[in-house]
Amino acid sequence: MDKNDKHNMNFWKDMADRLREHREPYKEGAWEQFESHYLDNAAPATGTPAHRGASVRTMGSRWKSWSAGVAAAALLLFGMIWLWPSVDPVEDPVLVQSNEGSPVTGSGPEAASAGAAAGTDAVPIEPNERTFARGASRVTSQIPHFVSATPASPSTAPDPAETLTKSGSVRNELTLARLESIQIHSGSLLTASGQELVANLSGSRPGNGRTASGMTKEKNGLLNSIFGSLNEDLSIQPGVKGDRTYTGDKWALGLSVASMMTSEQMNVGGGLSVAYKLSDRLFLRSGVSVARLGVSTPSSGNRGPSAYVGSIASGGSNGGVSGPQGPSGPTGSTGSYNGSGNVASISPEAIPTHYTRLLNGASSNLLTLDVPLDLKYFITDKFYTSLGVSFFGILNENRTNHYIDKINEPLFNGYTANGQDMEFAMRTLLVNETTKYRPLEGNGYAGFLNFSVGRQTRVSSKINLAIEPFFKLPVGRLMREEMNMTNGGIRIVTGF
Amino acid sequence: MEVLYKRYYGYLFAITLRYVRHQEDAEELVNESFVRIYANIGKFIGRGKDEEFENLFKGWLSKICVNVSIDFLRARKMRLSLDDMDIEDTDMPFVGVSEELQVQDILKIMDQLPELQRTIFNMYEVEGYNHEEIAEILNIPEGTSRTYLMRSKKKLQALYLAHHEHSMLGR
Repeated sequence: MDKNDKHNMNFWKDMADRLREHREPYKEGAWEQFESHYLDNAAPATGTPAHRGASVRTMGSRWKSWSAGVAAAALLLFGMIWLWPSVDPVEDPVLVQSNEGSPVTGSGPEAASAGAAAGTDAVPIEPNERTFARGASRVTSQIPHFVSATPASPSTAPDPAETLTKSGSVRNELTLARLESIQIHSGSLLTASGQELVANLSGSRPGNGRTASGMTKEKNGLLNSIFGSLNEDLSIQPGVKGDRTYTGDKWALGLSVASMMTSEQMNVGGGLSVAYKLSDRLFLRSGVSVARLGVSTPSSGNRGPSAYVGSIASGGSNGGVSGPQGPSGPTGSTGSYNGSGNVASISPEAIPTHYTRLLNGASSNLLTLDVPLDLKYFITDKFYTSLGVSFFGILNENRTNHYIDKINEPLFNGYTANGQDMEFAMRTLLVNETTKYRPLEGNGYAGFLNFSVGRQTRVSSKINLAIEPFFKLPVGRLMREEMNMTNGGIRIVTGF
Repeated sequence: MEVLYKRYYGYLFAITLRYVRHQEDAEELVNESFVRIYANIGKFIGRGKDEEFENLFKGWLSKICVNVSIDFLRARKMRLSLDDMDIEDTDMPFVGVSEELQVQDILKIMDQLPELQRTIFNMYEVEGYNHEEIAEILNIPEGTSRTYLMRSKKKLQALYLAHHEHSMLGR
C-alpha cells in the first residue's frame, strides 16, 4: 500500500467518522407529533397514562386507513357521477318528452289539454332509480406483540425495578444502569403475541435494582424461544427488512380526479390508474376512468339556424313536419314549448298556418368510460410528460336538440283592422327537446389522443400527488361526429 | 417510549439525512423508524455492559433506520442509471479532510452525488456494510456496488476539492 492509498483511506475514514458521530439536535415538538400521529392511545380503563397504554400504529394500519379514505373518496366520486342528474347544458331546459309521432303536448295546462285531446300521454322522465351504497369501513389495527399489559392497579404492578432481561444467566444479569437511555415507562410491559413478556426497560434513576427478580422460568423459556429465533433474524437481516409491503418497484397505483372543459361546460371525472416502469424514466400507464362530458354541436351563434327541419302549411295535419332530417332523428318529433318566457299551446286545430322548425343545434350529456394507454416520461425528477391513446366508451347519453320554431298565426290575437301590429304575429320559440336518438353509441373505434404534462410532488413517503394538465383530441369515430368532443383540463393524481 | 424517542431522535435523524435530502422526508422517516423500533424492540438482543450494550443498541437502531431510508428510496424508484457519471477513472490527488470542514458541509457535498452513489457510499463507508450485503439490499449486482462506490469517492473528492478551494478563496 503506497502512501497515497493510505492517505486516501484516512480521508474516507475521517469523513465517515465525522458523519457517524454527528447527531442532529432534538427538534422540539417531535415527540408530541409522533405521539399524535403514530400512537393509538388506548386503555383508559387501566388508569394508566395515555402514552403508557399506547400501542404503535403501524404503517400498515395507516396504509389501511389511507386506503379506506381513498376508497371512500373514490366511491363518493363515482356516486356523484352516477347519481348526478342529467343536466342539460342549455339553461332553462324545457321538454321532458320524446314521443315519436305523438302530437304536441305542452308544459302548461293548455298544452296538457291539447295533448289529452290528441290521445297521447306525456311520458315523464323516470327518476334515476340507481342507488349507490356508500360508506367506508373504519380500519384499525394494532401490532400484536406490542400491547400494553400494564396492570390495572399499582398494587398488582410489577416491580418498577424489573429490568430488561435476556435468556441465559448473563442476560438475566444484564443491567441498563449506565446506559441511562432505554427507559420505557415503569410498569409497562412489552409483550409478544399478547403474552406478558419481557421488558420493563427502566433504569435511568440511580439506585434502581436491576435484577431479573420477577422473571420466572416459564418466562425465560418463552424469551429463549423468541429471542433465539429473532436473534437469527437480526443477525442475518439488518433491521426489519420487508416489514413494509410496497406495491413493488415496477408498479405504481393511483387514483385520479379530473376537472375538464369541453366546448360546452365544465365536467368532472375520476378513476384508477396503474403504471408500469419500463425504464428509469419511462412508464407505461393505463387505468380506467369515468366522467360526465357535456358536449355540443358547434354553436351557430348569430349566423342563424344551423339546420332546417320542416314547416307546416296552414291546415296541415299534426306530426307532419316535413323537410330535411336533422339530428333529432325521425320526423314528427313533437313537444311542448317554452321559449323566451312564452308558453304556447298547439292543438291540431290550431296548427299554425305558418310553422317553421329549424334545428339550431344539439347538446349531449355523456357518461363515459375511458381506458387510456399512455407513455409517461419523466423529464426531471418531478416533471413528466405523457402521450398516448384512449379507448372510449359511452355508458349513457342524454341528448337534447335545440330548435327554433317560428309560429305566427295562433299568436296573432288582434285584427289587422284595429291596428294590431303584424310584427307580433310572428313569434320565435327556442325549444329544447330530449331525444332517444343515440348517435354516439355504437360500434367502431372511439378514442382520444392524450397529451399531458405533469408535476409530481411527494406528500409522504408512500403517497405522491401529481397535478397534470391534459388535452384530449378525438380520433376514430368520435372525430367524425358532429359533436365537438375535444376536451382538456387538469387532473390530480394520487399515487401510491 | 418518550425518553427513548428523545434520546435517539437526533442520532436517527442524522442517519436519515445522509440518505434523503429533504428535512421533511427525514423527519417522517425517523418517525417510521421509531414505529419499527417500538414494534420490534422485543426482538433486540443485547449483551455486554453499558457502553457495549448501548453500542449494540445503537447499531440495531441504525440498521432499522437505514432500512427504512432505503425502503423509502426504493419506493421512490431510486435512480439506477449508470450514465450520470462524468468523472474520469483517474486517480484523484490526495487531500485530507480539513479540520474546518463541518459535517453540514460534508452533507452538502454528498447531496450533489447521485442518489444511488450516495446510498452506496453511506452504506459502505459509514454504516459498514460490505458489497455483498449492499448488493442484496439494493438488489443490484455486487460489481455495480463496487463501481458506484469508486465513482462516488472520486466525485466526492472532486467536489470536496472544489469546496476547499472555494473556501480558501473566500478568505
